[in-house]
Amino acid sequence: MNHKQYEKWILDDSPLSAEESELLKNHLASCSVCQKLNEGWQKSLQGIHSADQHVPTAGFTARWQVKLQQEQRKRTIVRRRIIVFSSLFFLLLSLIAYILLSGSFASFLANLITLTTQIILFITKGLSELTMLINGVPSIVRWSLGIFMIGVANMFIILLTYIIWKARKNHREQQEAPAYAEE
Amino acid sequence: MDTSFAEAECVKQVLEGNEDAFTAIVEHFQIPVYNLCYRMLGTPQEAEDAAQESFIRAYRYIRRYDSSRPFATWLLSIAAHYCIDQQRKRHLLSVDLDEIMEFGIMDDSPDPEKVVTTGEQNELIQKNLAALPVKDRMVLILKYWYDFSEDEISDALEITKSAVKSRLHRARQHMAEQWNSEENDISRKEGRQHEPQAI
Ligand SMILES: [Zn+2]
Repeated sequence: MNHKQYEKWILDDSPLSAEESELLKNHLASCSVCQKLNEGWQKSLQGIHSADQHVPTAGFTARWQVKLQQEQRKRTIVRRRIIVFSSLFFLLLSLIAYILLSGSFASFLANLITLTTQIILFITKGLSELTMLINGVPSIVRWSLGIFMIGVANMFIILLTYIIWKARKNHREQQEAPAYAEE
Repeated sequence: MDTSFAEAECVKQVLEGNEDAFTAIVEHFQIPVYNLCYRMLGTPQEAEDAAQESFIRAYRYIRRYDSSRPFATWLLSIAAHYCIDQQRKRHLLSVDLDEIMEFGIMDDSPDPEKVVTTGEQNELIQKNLAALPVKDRMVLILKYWYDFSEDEISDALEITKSAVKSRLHRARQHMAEQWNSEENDISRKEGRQHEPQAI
């Protein structure tokens, strides 16, 4: 009989026949690998059986009741939002349907295009005026302003990285701290 | 667990709209549920959150409970699923950010100093548990802390019975090997203190 079979007998807690347990006993006496495995598992099993039950801190049920209330409130808010959004969506759909059905779709489209063109024209005009304004400023001012803006952007990136790192660290400490406190 | 607790009556009352009846369920089952979460997640804070959330889910899904089966089994399987999900999420989160940011590279290997000083069985068991793959760990916990049969585990975790068997086998082997390597560590430390450690 091979090694694997004994390993199975050691680890699977199905009951062994008298003959099987005799075989196992003999093998354990001669094979240090299986002996070690047997010992490790038996001791782990002992540890498992003697391990204390972990108990929550007092007031668990009261905390649960608070949590349930919060949860239910949150759900009501979400439900209300869904109702508002779906009615807005429905309104939009009916508006489109009305425009399509009332035959004035072509004129509506024409009006829309005119409006868009006007807005684009307005923006382009504003931009060109801004460029002219910037060109009027001496180049030394423009350069220092540019470098200053790059610095601000960099600072912002560093700050953001730091905040993320800090948050992660806090989160980890929060997870670990109570484990020590309980000892 | 106290068998005189009238869980069937409580569930019936909850279904009839009596919210307070569920409070009695929380009160009665808080320890087994909390303990399961603790064994699975390893810290009091996470165990508390997971246990709370498990009861919230049980309350919400109470209509799906099949009253012909034990309530405890159903409740614990909700907690088990939640803990498995939490473990996976935590794993994803910790891998992603740390690798991208290259900040705070954590050393997950056990602190040998700690093992020697507080080398209690209990702590060792918890640590060895934490090193098991998530589902193997859950199978082992349900089997040895909650006396679930293989059929009950297969029902609770929605895996086949043969998967339960193979996971159990693997988990036991893992636990045994870890136990042995821990003991080696300790005896090496106690015996030959000046020898460099070979890990
Ligand atoms: Zn052998």
